Amino acid sequence: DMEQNNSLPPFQGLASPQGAMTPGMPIFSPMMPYGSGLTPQPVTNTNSLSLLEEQQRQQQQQQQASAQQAGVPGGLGQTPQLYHSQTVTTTTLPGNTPLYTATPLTPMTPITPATPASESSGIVPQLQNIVSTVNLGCKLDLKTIALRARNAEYNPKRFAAVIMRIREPRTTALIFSSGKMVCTGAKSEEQSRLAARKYARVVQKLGFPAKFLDFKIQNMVGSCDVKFPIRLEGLVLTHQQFSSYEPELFPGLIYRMIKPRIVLLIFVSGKVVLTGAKVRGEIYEAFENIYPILKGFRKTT
Amino acid sequence: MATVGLKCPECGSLDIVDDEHYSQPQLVCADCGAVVSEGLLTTTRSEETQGTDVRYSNSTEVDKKPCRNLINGIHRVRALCRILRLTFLMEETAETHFKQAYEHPNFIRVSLQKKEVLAGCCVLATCRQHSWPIAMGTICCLLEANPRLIGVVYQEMVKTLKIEAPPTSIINLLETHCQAYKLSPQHVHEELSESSKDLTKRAAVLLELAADAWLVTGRQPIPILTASIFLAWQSLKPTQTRLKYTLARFCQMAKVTKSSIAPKRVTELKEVLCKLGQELPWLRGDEVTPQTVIQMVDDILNHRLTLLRRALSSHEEALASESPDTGSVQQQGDHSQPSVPNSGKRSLFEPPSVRYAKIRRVQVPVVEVTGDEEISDSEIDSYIRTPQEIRDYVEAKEALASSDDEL
Repeated sequence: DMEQNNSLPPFQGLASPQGAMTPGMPIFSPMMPYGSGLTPQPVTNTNSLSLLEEQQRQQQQQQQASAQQAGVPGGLGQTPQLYHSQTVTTTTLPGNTPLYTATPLTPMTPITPATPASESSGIVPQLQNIVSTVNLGCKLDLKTIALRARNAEYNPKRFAAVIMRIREPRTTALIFSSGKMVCTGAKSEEQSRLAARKYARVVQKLGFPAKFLDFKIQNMVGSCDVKFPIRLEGLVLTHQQFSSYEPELFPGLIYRMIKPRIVLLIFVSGKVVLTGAKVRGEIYEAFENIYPILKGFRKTT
Repeated sequence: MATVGLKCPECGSLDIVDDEHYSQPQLVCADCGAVVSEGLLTTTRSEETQGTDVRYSNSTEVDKKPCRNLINGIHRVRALCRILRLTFLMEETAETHFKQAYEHPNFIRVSLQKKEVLAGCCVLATCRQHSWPIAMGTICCLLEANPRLIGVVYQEMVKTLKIEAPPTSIINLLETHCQAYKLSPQHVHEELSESSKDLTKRAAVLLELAADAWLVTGRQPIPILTASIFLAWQSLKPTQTRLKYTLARFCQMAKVTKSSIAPKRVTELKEVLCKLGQELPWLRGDEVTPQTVIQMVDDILNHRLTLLRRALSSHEEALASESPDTGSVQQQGDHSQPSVPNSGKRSLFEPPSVRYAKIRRVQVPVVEVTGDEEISDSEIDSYIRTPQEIRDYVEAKEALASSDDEL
């Protein structure tokens, strides 16, 4: 029988440690190589834009603190680029000898007001695709299936399986001659299971002694929108060990979270794709982990 | 029996055996001892290396003489380092990386093509570790390889060797990119020439503006670099001659490969400049168009901060005046707009992917199922062909097959 994991509410209960919380660090990833996460990381790029944004963010924080005391209207909070720009125009441009410059600056954790531990994002990722497998328990003759089923295609030269589709739930199945089947395209675990059962019934009606053994969800994909633009260049610098951002190859940042073991694709528009989950809760947990980090890179121009 | 069907010419026996005489292979009759045929006494070099029973990788030769591909790879790494004029330390680092990666189980059995690309990836990783600005596109050009393949091999290599190679920031790439533009007085007419230093300085400010306006994140770096340099060149001396130059012509003059994306970036950057230029007080609200903005770039960049502040406040005023009017309209239009607008939309600058968001396919409402529902027979039958259909299908297929044969 299928694992009964689909009734978990969005992940809220895992409170982060109270007190010294650094929203910059993934809260639920104890395997980080930098210990408590407060270790300053040496910075090699002294002239990178995002680094200057770091400095500017700190300045902005200080300014905000002093501005609040002085009663200045909140204009400062909206034009962070003022300080940022000033520092850029006065520093020298990259020289001709790019030596390895390791200048440990202040800790790389973005110093933004810490979010209260119990506050969840309020955004729930939507499941977009479920991939599951099942064993029909008998050898199948793919030619017969392709001949006698309306919704099947079989091109042995291209791929060694029958591709079958049903309308409701709208899914696609790959049926192999060994009797194993892969079902893709469902939007929930239950839908995937229902669809797989329907495919098994079709195969049964075609004359094979099909059973329904070892149904298992193999992968779940979810997506959501945090509704603010994200500075990917900054994120890749502060979370180097998890992130890969190569704009020459792919426009999004690939974040490999360790706990839970989920891969996130983060785009500049604020849209996030989460994949690699075996249960729904992992997707929710991963998103709740990444949300405070992303908020730290929220930029208002 | 060594060979079937071979008969001894002396006694006619069929019993011929392989019997080497020292190192000379011979076929000898087992009954009368006559030598039926014999091979060469000496072997050629290629026979020695290729005709062996034991594979190179399983023999002890591996330890005595390093693999030829490894040597070639190291030469390639060194050549790339020399072309890029890297320091000696970096060359050594790259070589070390390559040796380690090559001998790692993840890479020892990959195709030769991947091994060639691996050399370039090691150089790239070394450059990044030493903050030497280099784009992946440069490695692509040097290796003449597919960028996707380079990406795959690079990421695999970094993971295998556990290297930490922070990606180059775009500002650092700008200077190296700028030096490729041949705009010195000896290359072009004096009126069109510009020193690399001035160009870089102006382009850096433009690039920073572009980055702030979300034109850089998530996009290919080279086109935006080209666009910045082009606009910098135009704005440093906004004469009619320069303004008449299109991006394509500029790239041709500067002997730089032109790109199809850079013109779009030029348009976007001009839009940003127009938004700021609009706030110049001495224009008194006159409209700033992409055609007229170049002459004002100097002023815009010098007073960037003030203009930005003013643009933000006027944008806010515009939004504030809009919202009480659209408040009622929004309520009616709500079911046609299921999504809450991105907060980026409410700002002055937003990433283009947000502003020109793709229209989402209407989401089919998720039907709640338990997975254990009854499956009706009629539904399943709808997926199965009737006997008549099967007959028709088979006939049609045969007809097609026979007509193909006739052709």
